[in-house]
Amino acid sequence: MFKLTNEPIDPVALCDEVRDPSAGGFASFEGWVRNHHNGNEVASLEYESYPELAEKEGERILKRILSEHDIVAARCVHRTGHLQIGEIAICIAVSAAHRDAAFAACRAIIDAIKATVPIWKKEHYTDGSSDWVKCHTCSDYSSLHNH
Amino acid sequence: MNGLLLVGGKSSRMGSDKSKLVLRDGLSQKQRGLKLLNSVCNQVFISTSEGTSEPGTIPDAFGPIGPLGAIASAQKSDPSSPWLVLACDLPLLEEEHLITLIENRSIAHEATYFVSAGDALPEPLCAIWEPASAAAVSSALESGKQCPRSVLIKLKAHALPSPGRWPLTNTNTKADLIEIRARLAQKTSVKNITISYFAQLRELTGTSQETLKTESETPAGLFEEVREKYRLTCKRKGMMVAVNSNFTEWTHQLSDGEEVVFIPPVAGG
Repeated sequence: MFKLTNEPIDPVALCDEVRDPSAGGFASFEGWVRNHHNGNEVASLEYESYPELAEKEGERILKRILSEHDIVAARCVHRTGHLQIGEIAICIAVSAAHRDAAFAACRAIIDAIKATVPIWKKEHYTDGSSDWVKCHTCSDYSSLHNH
Repeated sequence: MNGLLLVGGKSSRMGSDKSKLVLRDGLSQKQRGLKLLNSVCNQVFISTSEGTSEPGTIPDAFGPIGPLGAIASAQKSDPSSPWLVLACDLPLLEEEHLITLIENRSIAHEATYFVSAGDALPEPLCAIWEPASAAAVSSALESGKQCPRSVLIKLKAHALPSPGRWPLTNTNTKADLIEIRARLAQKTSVKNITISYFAQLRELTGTSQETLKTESETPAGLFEEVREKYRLTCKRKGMMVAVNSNFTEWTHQLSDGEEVVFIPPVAGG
C-alpha cells in the first residue's frame, strides 16, 4: 500500500489502484515542491529516506487507517531524490463508499506520515545555500536551549 | 570556598525525584552530593525552593526558574565567596574530580569549569563561580535568561579538559540510569554495533554506515558516544531510534551485532 520511488509519481495510476465497484467516493492528496518556505526562496528539494523502516512504517500507517476508517482502499507513494519546483513529492489515494470517510482518511494518512515516517528533506535556496528542514538543532548552538 | 548543592531539578524526564535516588554507598544522590562537597568546601549549602528557611539551605530568591536562579541566590547570600556549584545527579563523579577543579581554579577568571565530553561545551553545574561572575549572572536573569551554560559561555572563564564522559553524566533519563548502574556494577560488555546515518546526521558524520565497538548498554548511551566522536551538538530529545529496522525505545538493551539508526526529526510529505 505504501511505496517509495525515485521516479516521477503518476497520480492517475495511483487512483486506478484504489478503484472499486463498491466505492462511491475518491479523495487524494498531493504534496508539491513549493518555491518558498519561511520567507526563503526555495529552488529545489532533496528527499532522503531510511527505506527499510520508511516502507514498514508507511505500510503500518495505511493498515491502521484502513481499519479505523470506513474506506475501501488506500495507497501512498513518496518520492525520494532531488525534486524541482512543482513536482509531486507525495501522492495519497483513498476510495470509500461515501465522501466523509474518504476525506477524513486521506487527511489522517498525510498527518501520520509527516509525523513518523523516516523521510527527511533538504531545501536548496535560490541564493545557493541549503538546510535540512526541522533539523537545525543538529548543527548549531540553538540546541543549548533544549536541555 | 562555599559549596552549593542543587537538588531542585524537575526530574521531568525521570519521572521521580532524582535527589532521592540511592545508587552508591547506600546514600541518596543528595546525601552523596553533600558528602562530596563537604570533603572539599568550608561551608556547604543546599539550594531549595522559595520560602524555606532551614539552616544550611539557600532558598531560591528569584522564583522556581532553575539552576541560574539558585546560583544567583547563593551569590546574593554570600557575595564575597567563590561558589562550587554541583548538581546532585552525577553518580560517577568522584572526590578527585572536585579536587582537580579546585586545584586548577583560576582566581583571575570569573569561573572555572570542565568541558563536557560530548559536545565540548562548558559544564556549568560542576563548576566554580567566582564573585566576579555575579554581575553577568544577575544581568542574564534580569533579561529573562535561565540557562547557566549560556552565561558560562560568555564569561571570562577558565576551562579544564573533560574528565571523561562518565563523571559528568547526569541521571536525566531512564536510559542514563541503565548506563550508570551498569558501570557502577561493572557489568558492561563489549558489542559490535552497526550504525547507519541518514540526512543531516550522514552529512555531519561524513559517513553513511560504520561499525563501532561499544560498551554502551542502550541506544541512548551509544548516541552519546557518537556525539562525542563527531562533536555533534544535537540532543536525543526530539529524535527517534530504530534497532534492526524497527522503532524502539532509547532504553533498549543492545546486543552484539545489532543495527542502529538515529532518526532526526522527520520531514516527509
